[in-house]
Amino acid sequence: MTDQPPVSLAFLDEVLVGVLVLCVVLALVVVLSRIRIARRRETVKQRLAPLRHDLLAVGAGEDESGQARSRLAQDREAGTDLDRAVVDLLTKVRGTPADDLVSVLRERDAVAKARRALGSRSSVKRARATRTLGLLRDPALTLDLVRMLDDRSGEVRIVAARSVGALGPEAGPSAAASVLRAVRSRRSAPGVPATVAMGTLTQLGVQSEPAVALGLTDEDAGVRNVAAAVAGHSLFLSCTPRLTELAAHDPDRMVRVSATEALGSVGRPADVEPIARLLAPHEPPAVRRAAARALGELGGQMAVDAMVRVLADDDRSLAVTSATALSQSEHGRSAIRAVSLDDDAAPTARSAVAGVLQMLDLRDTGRGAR
Amino acid sequence: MADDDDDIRDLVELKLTQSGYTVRACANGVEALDEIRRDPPTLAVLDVMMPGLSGIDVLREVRADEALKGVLVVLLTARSRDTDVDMGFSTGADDYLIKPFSPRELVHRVSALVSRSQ
Repeated sequence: MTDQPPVSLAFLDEVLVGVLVLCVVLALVVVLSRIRIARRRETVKQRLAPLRHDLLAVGAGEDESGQARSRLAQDREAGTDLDRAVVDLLTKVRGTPADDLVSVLRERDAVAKARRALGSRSSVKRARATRTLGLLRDPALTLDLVRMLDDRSGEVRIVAARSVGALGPEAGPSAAASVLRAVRSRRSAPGVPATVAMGTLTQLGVQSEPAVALGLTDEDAGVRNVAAAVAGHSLFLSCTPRLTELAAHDPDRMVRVSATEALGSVGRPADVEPIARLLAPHEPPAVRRAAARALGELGGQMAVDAMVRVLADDDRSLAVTSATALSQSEHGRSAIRAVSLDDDAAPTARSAVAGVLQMLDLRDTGRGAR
Repeated sequence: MADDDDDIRDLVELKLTQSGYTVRACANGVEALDEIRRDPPTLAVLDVMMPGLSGIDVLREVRADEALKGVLVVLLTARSRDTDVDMGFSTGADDYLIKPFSPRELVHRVSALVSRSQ
């Protein structure tokens, strides 16, 4: 037997030194890049300083003579830095100042520049150009924006979806269909996030109704989910029958939850019974809670009775959701007060309504104090 | 007026100054609270999401201080959900404006609040 040489310790020392050197190098890179960014920002600030007052005057709506607007439009020294400053300001104001900033951008040929940049290799430049075109809120640019919904970069697709939304109903029904298609995952990359697509479709208003109705039958669960949520939020009554089917039978739980919640907004009295069936113990907890919320929205005696029945449920979260939903209507509030006073009521039911009643009392006290 | 965004701060300062108000601008919540305590203004326009102390935190401190009881507070924020608005008003805001905002509307709201309080 020979003793093992202390190679492992020396090796560990080398690794440790290597890691330390790497950390120092990384820290230096971070510091240097921050310094570079700060310097660049300062340079831009100085370059824009002579135009700052004009920029603010237009942004604040304090340029009645139009002279500041004209100086900004004609300036060629500040170049893209000024374009970006105008775009940044445009994201912060609305009304006449926003219209004036748009006219500055147009006069500075920003549309052509942004359109050219849509084909750039850099995803940052494509995203920036998409954002600029969206901020112009010009329906004539819808096609350019819709095309970017198919961009290879997820970030650009998100910016494109938001920009289409900024156009509002004037974007038209085919834009809505494109936004819904963009929700689908592609080549292992995720589609446009559901919340972004929902926001956009909601902004498109009634123009999105045909696409949303079709989306409820899409093979992609993500698309059905977004369509269901938008149908409820936008009060698309034509979607109610399909929402009832999805709430009861869709293979995807998330879709069932969205469809059930949507029925709370667009459901009819006839939908109370099928929604109440979704409170059954064998249903997934998330669907049961969604059903309680929907019944709270719809109201009526049958809905109140169904919600009172689950106040004693083993799922405390469902019981509390139900108590909260009941508190939305006078009828429901009477029901939970009755439960709180009923000595024979299950302790779980009394506990579920106690918190909600406290909240109601606090709210009433607050109103009284005002 | 407190906002960590230079553009918003300068815009609001310019617009309110042009409308005849004297404006003191701060870049964060801590500075804003110090300024409000040092010399209570008639009205404070506060951004909600600021480093250090948020606009809601500043509002809470202002409402808890008897000496600042009369200070009117307008929240100017990008937080647009109903729950955010509820939180703003329930903390004691006198008005709530969502970004992107109309500078002209801000002036109208400030002017209405100030004249009603006098």
